[in-house]
Amino acid sequence: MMMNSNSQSAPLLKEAAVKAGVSSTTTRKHFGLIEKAKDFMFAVPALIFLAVFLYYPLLNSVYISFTNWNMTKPVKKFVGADNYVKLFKNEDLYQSLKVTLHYTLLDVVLTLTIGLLLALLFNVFRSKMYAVMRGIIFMPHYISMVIAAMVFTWIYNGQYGLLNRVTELMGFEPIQWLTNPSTALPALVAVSVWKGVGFAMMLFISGMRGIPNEYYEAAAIDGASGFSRFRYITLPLLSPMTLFLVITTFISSMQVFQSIDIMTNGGPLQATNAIVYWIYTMAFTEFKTGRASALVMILFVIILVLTIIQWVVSRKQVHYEG
Amino acid sequence: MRDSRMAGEKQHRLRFSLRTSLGVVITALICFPIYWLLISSFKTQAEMRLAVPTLWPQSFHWSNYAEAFRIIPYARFFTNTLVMSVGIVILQLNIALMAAFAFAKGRFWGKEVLFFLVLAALIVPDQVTFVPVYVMMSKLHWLDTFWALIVPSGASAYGIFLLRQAFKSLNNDVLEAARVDGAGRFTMLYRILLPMAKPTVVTLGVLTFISSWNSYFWPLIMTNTNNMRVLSVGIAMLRDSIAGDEAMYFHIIMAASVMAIIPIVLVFTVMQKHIVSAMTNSTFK
Amino acid sequence: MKTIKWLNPMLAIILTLMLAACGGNTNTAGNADASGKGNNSAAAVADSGLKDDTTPVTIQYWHAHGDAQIEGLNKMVEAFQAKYPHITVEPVFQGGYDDLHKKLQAAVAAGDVPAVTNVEVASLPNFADSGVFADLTPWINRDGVDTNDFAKGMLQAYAYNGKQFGFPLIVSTSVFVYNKTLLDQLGVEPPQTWDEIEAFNEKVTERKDGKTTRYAFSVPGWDTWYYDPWLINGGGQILNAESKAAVDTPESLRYIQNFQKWIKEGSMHMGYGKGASDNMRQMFLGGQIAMVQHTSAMLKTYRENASFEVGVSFLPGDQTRTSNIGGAGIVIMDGASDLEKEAAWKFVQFMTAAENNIGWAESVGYLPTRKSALETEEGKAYFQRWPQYKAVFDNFDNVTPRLQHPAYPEFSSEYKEVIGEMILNQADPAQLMPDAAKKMNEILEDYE
Repeated sequence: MMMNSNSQSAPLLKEAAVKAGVSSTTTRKHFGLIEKAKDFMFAVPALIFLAVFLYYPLLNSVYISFTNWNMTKPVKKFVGADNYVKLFKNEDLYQSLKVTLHYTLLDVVLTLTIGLLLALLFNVFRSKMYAVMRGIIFMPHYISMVIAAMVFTWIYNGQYGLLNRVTELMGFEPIQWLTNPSTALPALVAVSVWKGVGFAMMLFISGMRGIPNEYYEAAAIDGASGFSRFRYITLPLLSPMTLFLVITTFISSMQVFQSIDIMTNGGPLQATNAIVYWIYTMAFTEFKTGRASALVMILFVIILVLTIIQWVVSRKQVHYEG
Repeated sequence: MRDSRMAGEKQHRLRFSLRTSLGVVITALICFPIYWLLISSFKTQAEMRLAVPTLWPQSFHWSNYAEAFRIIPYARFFTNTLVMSVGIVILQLNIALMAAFAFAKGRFWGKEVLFFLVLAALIVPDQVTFVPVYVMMSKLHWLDTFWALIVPSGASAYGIFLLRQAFKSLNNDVLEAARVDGAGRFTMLYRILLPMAKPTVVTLGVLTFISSWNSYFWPLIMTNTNNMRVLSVGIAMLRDSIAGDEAMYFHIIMAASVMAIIPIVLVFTVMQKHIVSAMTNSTFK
Repeated sequence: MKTIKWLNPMLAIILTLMLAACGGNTNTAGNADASGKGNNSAAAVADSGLKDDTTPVTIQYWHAHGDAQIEGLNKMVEAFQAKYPHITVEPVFQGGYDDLHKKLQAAVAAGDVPAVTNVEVASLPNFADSGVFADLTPWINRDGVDTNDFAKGMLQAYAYNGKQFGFPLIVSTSVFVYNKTLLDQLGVEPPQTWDEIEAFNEKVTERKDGKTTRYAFSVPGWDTWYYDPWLINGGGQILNAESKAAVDTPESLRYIQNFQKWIKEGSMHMGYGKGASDNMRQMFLGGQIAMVQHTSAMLKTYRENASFEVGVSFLPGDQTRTSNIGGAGIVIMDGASDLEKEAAWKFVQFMTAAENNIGWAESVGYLPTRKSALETEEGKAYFQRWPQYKAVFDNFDNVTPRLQHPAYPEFSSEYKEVIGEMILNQADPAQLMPDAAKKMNEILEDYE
């Protein structure tokens, strides 16, 4: 998204790529089977854990998605693709997808943009004060979503909430932030952005610190303006960081659940009924574990495909630059 | 810093103080919800509802805390949260270190495919895997024990990914030298790579600690009694426990929330310097 | 470097444990299934001679009793344990009903259940359908429990498919809570029939510059529990005899069309969405609404927080006059062991016994369930302290179970959304309802 506009900085980037580039070529010779097995053994604990706690449950869900199991019934009756067919026929699916994508788009764009702006502002290392301010801005990141959601619920409260006190002081009508279909989703996004910008800022700053000073010096000699330095040096060289943030933020916002559970329960009028929350109510309130598992699979495929697309597109971009 | 080369000293100072003021305003803005949480926790119900909200409590109403303490067995929940978080950090870091070592420096068949499988784990939400895992934990009689709180979170795709990136950017020469000296893989990993990748490891440890400390869904499902519950679950339970009256008891919910975040905020304030410098120096590329 | 030294052994230990655990997995699973835990039918348990058995046993009681009810609960548990010294009851708060149900489902899936638990009344059919709860009938017969002493509707609410799966424990119903001070000043009585509502609205509503400053009354839009009785009282049905959606018939639409009219003219208030409940309550306490429909469980809160006298009136009727039962019952999990089930039954009996009924109801703020208890001295004293409940008990037999259907939680959200559209977007409910009915029928197809 943000790293797409840097084709003119090719020479700089090439150099950077070489510098930052990873020389993973091993010089070892006679790398026998036993050595390979030993190397592999180091990956085994992780693979076991993932297999037991992730892939097995996931495969189990695939199986359940073809049954009408309700979690409390001893029998799982095989119903073929029925769950999928019913879901695709259900307009709620498209509404829920729309909500999820809308949320994700807002969350990713806002978190990254604001995070980057904050990084530009707070990238100062000679003053202790800036270190303190960075620390404070990072704080929301380590406050649990449960608590953040409750604090914001209080701030958004229709009658006594701070936000409405402020709107009233400015002469506007109070708004029922969480029960108004057009404000509920942005209200949720705001919490996530608030929690996420500090983290994004930190990563961007770490990326900026990794950019060798010579680039800026060279650009300064060429008389490049502050903006064009940002545009042609900072932004392109931050692109690996941006990609990392885009993908991790994307994945976590596609799975938004906690704030919805506490602040809106998917409402009003399904305005915040994001997929994972819907899966959750389907399984637990409606006792449709099978159908919910099918929805899990749909979500899984969607995230997978979109992630791969982002990856491929951005990688192409990086190659193009280099 | 770079600006100083272009601008005159005076102009530069002015710009810098403007920049700092803007920074202060933004910091205050971002910090405000936390401040609001803190002062709300000292207000009375009546003060919470004043038409013009007070930015400083009229008087410090500690009884909100007493009330929260009465409902939540705080010491118990605190200990549980701490043990769980530390356990997860230790387990996850070690597993991730090993896996990252294998994926960054090792050679074995199917490495790329396996690494992709690891990364794919990132896109599986907790809400998907917990039923089979719950059944598994139940059969092992691990429910309501630290095992169920810690072990299922053992492998983190995120951690493996970050550490692998960090290891890959490290030069192989030292490793080769160690190998020539007859060092085993554990020595190479823990004595050579680990110190070299310290900022990333610290960052990862901190992030893991944060997310474990704050995790809610998993501990909620895996524990059945107050003996094993953690703070975030306790807060949500407190809210449920006075549900229907939520708006009437926000001051108490806020007090309980403050109690839940104080430990983590304290730790971070004390360790601020290390964490922030580790984070801004680690390789996330 | 010091830390690193113990990291390796630590890791080795963890891994060993892990592997041991994985290896043990299949064994334990096998044992659990073959251990003969539970799964005897209730009849077998009731007749197995365990009645006078005094083998020490500990049972878990999973509940959703909020903080306000804990003191009362602890007293009951203490008294119970004094009566049955061999039984230890461990009450465990599992959060609100949603969380409790979720944990129950997971527990059932894992085959590791508590002996006794709460269940919210609307979710009983779902659990009962899966055979999760034990049928109490054999015990009722064995111990000669006089079930006729329970209010009829309350008992029925915990029966499903002809089996009594539980007893009412914390029962509420929705009532009109009104600002008695204000209505007395205005010289108005709360409406007892739909016909009286118009006049009531006229006298009570206050407007300023075309905007309502005081609503005559409010009906919650956020939960179908509040307006299902209106639908029924208007002569309508949620499902017809063929179990098809009937929410769009003219009779079923009467109430909502009235609502629409009253909302438009500014005399009726309806809240929707999360937090709307708080909002409505604050408006009532602040004098912006004269009368609110709310659960009887909130009466205590209203009485404590109102600066005026609070009255209670039963819902106005038309073709019929009913209000639905809410709250939770107490049930025994079928998956518990025989010994646990027997102990659980004793606990259920104790918690719902007539002699404890008034004390329990008052301590938790819910309704008494036993007719005989109301006649006692204790019962009379209770009514003196809580005269507001008289309106409920004058209509004791009009408090009915809500529609029992496993798909209710799912399909009810369809017509709830129509209400939401009406409240939030000023949509015409009569136009939207046929579509909602269609969707309901699609949902119902799964249950044929």
